Amino acid sequence: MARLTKLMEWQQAGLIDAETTQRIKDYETHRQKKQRVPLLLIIGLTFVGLALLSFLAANWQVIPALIKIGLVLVIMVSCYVLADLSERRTIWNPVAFRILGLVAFAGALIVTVQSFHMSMQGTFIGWAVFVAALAHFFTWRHTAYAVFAFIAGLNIFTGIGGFGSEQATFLDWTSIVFLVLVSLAWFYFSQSLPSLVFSWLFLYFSGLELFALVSYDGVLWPIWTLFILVPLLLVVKQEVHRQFLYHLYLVVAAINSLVYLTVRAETTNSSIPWGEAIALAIFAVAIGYLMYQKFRPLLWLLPLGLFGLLWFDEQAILIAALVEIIAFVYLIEQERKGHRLTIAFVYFIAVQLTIYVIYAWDRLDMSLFFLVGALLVFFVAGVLWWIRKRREGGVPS
Amino acid sequence: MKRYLFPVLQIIVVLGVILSFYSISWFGDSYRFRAEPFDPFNPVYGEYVMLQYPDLKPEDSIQKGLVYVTFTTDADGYAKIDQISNERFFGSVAGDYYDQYVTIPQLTQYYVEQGTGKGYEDAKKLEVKADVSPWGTVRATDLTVRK
Repeated sequence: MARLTKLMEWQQAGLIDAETTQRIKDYETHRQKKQRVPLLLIIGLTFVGLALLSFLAANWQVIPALIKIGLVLVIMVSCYVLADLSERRTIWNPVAFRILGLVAFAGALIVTVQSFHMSMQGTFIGWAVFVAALAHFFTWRHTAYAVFAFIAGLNIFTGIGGFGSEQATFLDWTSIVFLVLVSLAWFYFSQSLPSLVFSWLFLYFSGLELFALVSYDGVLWPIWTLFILVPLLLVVKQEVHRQFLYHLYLVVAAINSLVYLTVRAETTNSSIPWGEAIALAIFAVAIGYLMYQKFRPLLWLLPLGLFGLLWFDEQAILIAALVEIIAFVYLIEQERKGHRLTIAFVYFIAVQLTIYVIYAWDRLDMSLFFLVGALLVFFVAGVLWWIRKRREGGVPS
Repeated sequence: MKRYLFPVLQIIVVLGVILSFYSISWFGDSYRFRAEPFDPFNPVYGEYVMLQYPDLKPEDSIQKGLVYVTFTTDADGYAKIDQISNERFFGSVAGDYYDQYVTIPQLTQYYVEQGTGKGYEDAKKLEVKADVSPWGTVRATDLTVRK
């Protein structure tokens, strides 16, 4: 009512005319009428729902298996019915209901497996939900399904390799082969952004998973996988997407370089056969040719090809020097070309910190003093650079 | 029709899983396994008892790791190992051999009614009824305290 008094006051003051006041009044009374009924309905339905749920929860143990599964399936189907309704009447959000439907599907499988006292190990449930979510994605092309598929797919990776058994079974191999094929298909046929990244990550994880499956204990798996995935960029149709994926390759390579550096410096008994190291270097040259021809920004991955050859040095000084030089040159090159500096700068700092922790850990008290100084200098340099950029009128990156 | 294709397909998948579980009992043989609980465990999935099987002790020639077994019934009426090998053979059940016993993944955990898990763990001497299909899958059907 306070609102109406205010309206009258405005009208008398000549701020708004009588017609507008009437229109506002009509709108407000109409709107309130519409709201009243559904609110009560929602509260009522919530209570009924809660009562139903608590009744089910209290009796869950004694409900026969088939009825339990049936109940979850009924929830699943009603989610899809609600999705359909919301799509036809353009109310609520059909995607949210279908995601709930997928969750109910996963729930139905888990309840089934539990009710029959079967093992939760293995990749079956992960696969069923992953494939269902992916099929949803290709039918409706909504990002939410891609995210759901990615999360469901991650479960497959944890299931492969078998808990407690050291040898990979035929099933594990089938699983990984299908995972590679499905991820390739997802990558090729989606050609939209989160999906390209998700499917690429699955392909990369598959490469790492092979490490757990085969009996050959190589250290260079992650680098091999990264190089093998470079030709995949040939099938990316849009240049924008390719530019984005370059960053993904570079970030993964950056993480790899730091992990290798740390592992080599902290372990003494790991070795790489010279044959494999040389093979990797030669492969790097071949892939480097492709990069030079097609994907110039990826040439920064090439130094990883030398890691095998530099592995013999137990102190990892050679690898540290290589990483340090690359980080520095990359930073300068990006600055010179006027590109975004975020990744280059973060990588440069990360390299310094890694080297610091590796080599100065034993003399931490003394080195902390220098570390704090170095961080302060970085901070001041960053601030100065940012101020300079602003003065020049450019957009700081 | 596309809208309802997914729920229908997903129901078919769940029904397929249920059928595959039932078919183990329809086509398989039933055994009683002497079982004892170990490692009390109660995660978010629900309460279950972890079980190991003292009768499933292979001979010395078998290597640790992945093993394949078939079962037969001994004089007391409990299941024991019939054939065991590190190589897969027809009708065999896949299991793991580590520590001292053979573990069959489908028989290591048994979901029980909320609050009864402790009772089974204290009873120590347990018995599991399980069906074993001719194609090498296992389904536990009952967990009781052994008399």
